[in-house]
Amino acid sequence: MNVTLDQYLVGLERSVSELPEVFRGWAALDDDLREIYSDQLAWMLGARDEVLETAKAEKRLLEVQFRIARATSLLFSLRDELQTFMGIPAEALVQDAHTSVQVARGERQRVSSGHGAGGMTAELVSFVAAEGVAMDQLSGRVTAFNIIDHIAVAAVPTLFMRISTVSLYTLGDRPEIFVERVTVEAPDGRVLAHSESLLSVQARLPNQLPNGHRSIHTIWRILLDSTGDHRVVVSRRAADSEQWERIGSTLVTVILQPHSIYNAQAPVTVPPVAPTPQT
Amino acid sequence: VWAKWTNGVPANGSLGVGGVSPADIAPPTWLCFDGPRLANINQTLRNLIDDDRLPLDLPTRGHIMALVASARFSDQKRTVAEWGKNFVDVTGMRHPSRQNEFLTAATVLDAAEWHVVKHTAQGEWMVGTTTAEYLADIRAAVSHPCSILHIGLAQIPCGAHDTRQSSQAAVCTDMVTAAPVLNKATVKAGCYLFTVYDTGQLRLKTCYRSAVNSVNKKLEAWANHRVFAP
Repeated sequence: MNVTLDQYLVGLERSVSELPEVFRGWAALDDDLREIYSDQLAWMLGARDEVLETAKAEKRLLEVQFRIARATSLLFSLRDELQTFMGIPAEALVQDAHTSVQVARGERQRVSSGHGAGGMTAELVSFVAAEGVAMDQLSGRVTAFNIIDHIAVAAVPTLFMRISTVSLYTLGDRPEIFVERVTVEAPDGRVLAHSESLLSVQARLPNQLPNGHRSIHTIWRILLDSTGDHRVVVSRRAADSEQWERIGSTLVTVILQPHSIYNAQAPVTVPPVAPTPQT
Repeated sequence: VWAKWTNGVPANGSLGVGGVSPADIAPPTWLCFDGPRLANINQTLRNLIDDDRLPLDLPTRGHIMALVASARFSDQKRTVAEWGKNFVDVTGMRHPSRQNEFLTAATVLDAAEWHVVKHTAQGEWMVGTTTAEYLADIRAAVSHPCSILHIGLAQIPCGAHDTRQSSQAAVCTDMVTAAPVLNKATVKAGCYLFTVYDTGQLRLKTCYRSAVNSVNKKLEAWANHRVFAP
């Protein structure tokens, strides 16, 4: 590759942002241009490993890894169009790494991102829902803020602004590609919001890092229309299968009770915010 | 004659500086088919693709290879911004035909120039490769004795889920074997220089470096696929 990291990243990010428009005008493009666009994007995807090697050498690995993961996430949300128009399968979007980040917005949002480990050998060892999650770009450490086991609301329906989840997997002895889904389910089983992510999980090498994969989903603006035991569920399915396997969940009980430190008089559509210290 | 022509460096030594004259990139006279002859060979090629029982003799194979070697890219001109969708940012790179200029999003390039920019960025040709040098490498590769000719019907995407068939000839040249005649292509073991010619447009579609397995996989998808090894 004869381009710099920045030329690659700027191009990748621009490409991803322009793709919806390209697909809208796909029928009007001439054949040559369709082929050229498809080939170019396929090359960009194939070059990610080389880019990461360069990033490692230039000590920019975490930044580059994050930017590529973000772009890959957006591409994954266009996976149907990529397959239909360009013949690029969803599997081609997957790339080795050990942290995946997924952001969804509201109900019925088609999702996601991708990175991960492999086969049915990766094992979910922890799953938490929290108000926020941060990833330290320098060290790659993940922190969950304000783990949620209940939500206190003044009334229903109410709009809950954000819920983030972290799934921790230990790696197996062979690589694996699968789709991970996080759903927020009402007490009657209705899915209120969901987020999906294509994970490509590496194999674990004994005594070496990475030994696990962390997957983060953030779902915004969830409409809670009832009280009671809600569940945040994490499921997985093989990339070529429609069968979801439920692998973990956490209980979030919604109660009608103003939070002791949130403003009890606030309009019900205002989501809870962190308290401001009073002097 | 081949050696002189495929050397890639024109007699005036001005390659890539201040523009490329047609003489720099033109094939030798004996390869410049006139209209009817070119059309005849192209039609012969199409017939061979349409009817895979037709025999191909050595002289015809030679003519087809010469046809591919002498073909030009499309004259279609587009801006860098238009060509470069879904690609790395190439602004700031040297213009492949006017080496004292640098590319901007608004720079207009023809298909051959875009292919130079693209394949240089991808590391398949050396930085600073000019259009003439790129074309000279293509001709050298296609005309190399080890090159393998493939003909067949490729599936071209033409809409959502839709494809059409396109009669194509492709020439695979092992890079290591052809390395002595390649000037600017970056030689990599286990890779072909893969040159594709479209009989419908009478134009070169592309030429790039690709792993042998990847090329074979692509060619396996062709209908009426026939291979003519040397």
